[in-house]
Amino acid sequence: MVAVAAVATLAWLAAYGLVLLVTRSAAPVPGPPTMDLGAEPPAVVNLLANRWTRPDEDAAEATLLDLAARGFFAIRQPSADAAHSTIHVAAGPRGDGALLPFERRVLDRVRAAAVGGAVPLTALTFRDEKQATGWRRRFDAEVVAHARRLGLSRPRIGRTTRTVLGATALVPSVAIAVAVALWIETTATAEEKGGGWASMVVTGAILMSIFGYVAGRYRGERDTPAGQAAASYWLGVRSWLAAHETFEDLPPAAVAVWGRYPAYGAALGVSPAATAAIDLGMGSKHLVWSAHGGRWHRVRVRYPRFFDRYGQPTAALVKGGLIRVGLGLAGLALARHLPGGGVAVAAVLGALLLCWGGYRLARAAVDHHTPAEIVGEVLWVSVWRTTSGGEDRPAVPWLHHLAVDDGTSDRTVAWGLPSAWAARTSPGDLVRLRARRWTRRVVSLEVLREGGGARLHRGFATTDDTHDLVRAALGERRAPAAARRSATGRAAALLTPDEVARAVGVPVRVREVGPLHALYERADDGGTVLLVQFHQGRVAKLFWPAARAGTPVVGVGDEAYVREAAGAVRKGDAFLTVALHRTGRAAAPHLPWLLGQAAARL
Amino acid sequence: MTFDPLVVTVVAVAVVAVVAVVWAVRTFNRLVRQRNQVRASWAQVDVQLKRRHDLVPNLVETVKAYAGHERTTLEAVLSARAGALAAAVSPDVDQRARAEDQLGLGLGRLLALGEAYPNLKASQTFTQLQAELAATEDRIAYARQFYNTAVQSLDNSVHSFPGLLVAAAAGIRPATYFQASAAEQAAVAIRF
Repeated sequence: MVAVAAVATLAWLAAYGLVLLVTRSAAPVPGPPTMDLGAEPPAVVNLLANRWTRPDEDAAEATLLDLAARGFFAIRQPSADAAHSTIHVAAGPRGDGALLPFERRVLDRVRAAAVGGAVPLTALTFRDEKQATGWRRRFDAEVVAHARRLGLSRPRIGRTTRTVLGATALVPSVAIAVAVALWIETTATAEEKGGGWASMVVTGAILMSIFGYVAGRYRGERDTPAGQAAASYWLGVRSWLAAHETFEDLPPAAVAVWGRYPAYGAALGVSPAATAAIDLGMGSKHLVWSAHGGRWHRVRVRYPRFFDRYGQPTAALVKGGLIRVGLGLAGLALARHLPGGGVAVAAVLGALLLCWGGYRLARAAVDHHTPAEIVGEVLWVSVWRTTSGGEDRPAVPWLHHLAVDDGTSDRTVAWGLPSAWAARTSPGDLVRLRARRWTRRVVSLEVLREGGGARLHRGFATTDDTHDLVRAALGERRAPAAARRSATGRAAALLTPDEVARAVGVPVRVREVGPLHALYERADDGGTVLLVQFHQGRVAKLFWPAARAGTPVVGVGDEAYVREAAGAVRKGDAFLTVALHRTGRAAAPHLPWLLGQAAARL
Repeated sequence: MTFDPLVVTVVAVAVVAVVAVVWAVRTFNRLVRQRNQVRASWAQVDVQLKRRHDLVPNLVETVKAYAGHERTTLEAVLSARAGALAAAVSPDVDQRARAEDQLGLGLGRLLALGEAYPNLKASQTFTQLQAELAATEDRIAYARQFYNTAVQSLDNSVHSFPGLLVAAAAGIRPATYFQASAAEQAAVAIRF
């Protein structure tokens, strides 16, 4: 049976490999060199030039140049260095209704980043990995969808082939499952007989899921006859552009003279200087653009790391100081009773600990009573310190780095933001914070004005499947769950299973019970660990007084409360309650963090 | 181990000669590539200019239907087109540029008649031809840019040392820029 299972598996894998082999796009034959541009937008041209794999990073940059060439904004280069170029968004409204979805996405990104109508070309980078990945995936999906609409591209593995592959996966799955069952049955003792057949069902189901995942996974695009003809034409354009030596040195601002040619040059990979000056990916957290004070400038950020005092509340510092003082006094007392050289060692150690503890207590007292108040633009938010996780308890962040530009210097040092508040702000926000200088701990945070980037990219998830995103862009299905969250505010979308799992320490799955309730259950035995209820509008107004019971949690939502194993948070006219059940009660200390995460999505 | 000085000298000279030949061949190939690019770019300019020439008769006929008594302007355009067609066979780029400038000016005056004759301005044929001419003018402008950048690349190679040695030996000469006249630069009427 093992041999049958092996043969069935190999046969299925061979069939899958054959499908991949025959669905490869043929290399298009370059057409004659020509300077006449076709009708396809640069991002689609990039897809074709990349042999239908998927658009590369030049596609978004080419779209940016194309929008500039079409007058949606201007790119100016004030010095010889193209990296110093700035984008100036047109003051008046411009008819952008006819823009394609991916073009609008780039334009929205530029408009969101612009301050006073201007933004440095290198300030378009993202400050959040999830946002960068989510934005890019959606852009790619919209480009692919448009190429399909034009008949230039199609899914590499069609629906019929996927269905056949999925159905035939039953053969190796059953064969392996039967082989496993037979092996268990033959090796089992008399009392254990029969267990193999039960495991056969489980093994078969798991294997079907795996084979199904492999068969259904998005493998990119493939050519069509029309796509081959278009690609051939555009390779002719590439030959024409590549033959002009000056073209490879054109900066982004050259769109003012060359119109759409640099955009197509970027899409076809023959304008490296133009694309090198543009970056729509992830930015550096050490050198960050800030527009605080109405002037764009770069701020060098240092992130403190080593000393254990960073981020600690005063109580913890006092406790540490008292322990050191106590140990120091004990050392000094012990020194009297020690013989010989031990006296000096104990005395020195005791004195050192005493001084250290005293210094710590004094600094903690000064730090506590002299907090700094800062108003500035948030530059970066990232995890700094996490709790030490255990075998069945994942590490949970308790402190975040918060870099803020207060406009006084081009250098700054990040503060320590309690993780429960991390979801309240994002880069670009104007905030007022009070913080202790010695411990770098933020003690209060108020968002004065939300940044444009936060509104634009809220709800992105890196787990979104490309295949689903393309179908959503084609209008064949609703937008993926991540994109729906902010729109509908469903209970299940307010906390991810991953976040709940981190809090309760075991893998969980979420089950929607209507639009207002979500049950989080253990993945192993299905036991409920958390119940989330969501209310909005008049109903929320009616029930909130009953929900606001327990200890107030400062800085989470508009107001939040936690009790023994439950909590509630309100933001605007919506609120949610969370209640821990059974083994989930162990996550009670993390309730403020969970409420903070949920509040960010309310 | 010792080497015969004569052998060392011969080997050194041979190596230098091989390097020089390889360099000369590469430089020559580059110059030829650049010269071909100038020719290809000029061919594109030619294509776009011919497109403009082809538009002129239709445009003149359309204008004639609404403003037939503007004989002077119509004849000037037709005359300029004839001059441009005659210059098209000439290898002299400057002569061609001058002829095209004249045609551009004439077309500018012809299109300006649309302002004086509302019926002409409202004519769908006139509007279509106007748009087509505007697109053609854009193509001509870009074709000229491509041509001039190709000429510039060739010029840089031909005039810089040591490329000029190979260029002189191979008889490769710099090409002439296709200059836009001041009048044409100001002829925004055709660019809309």
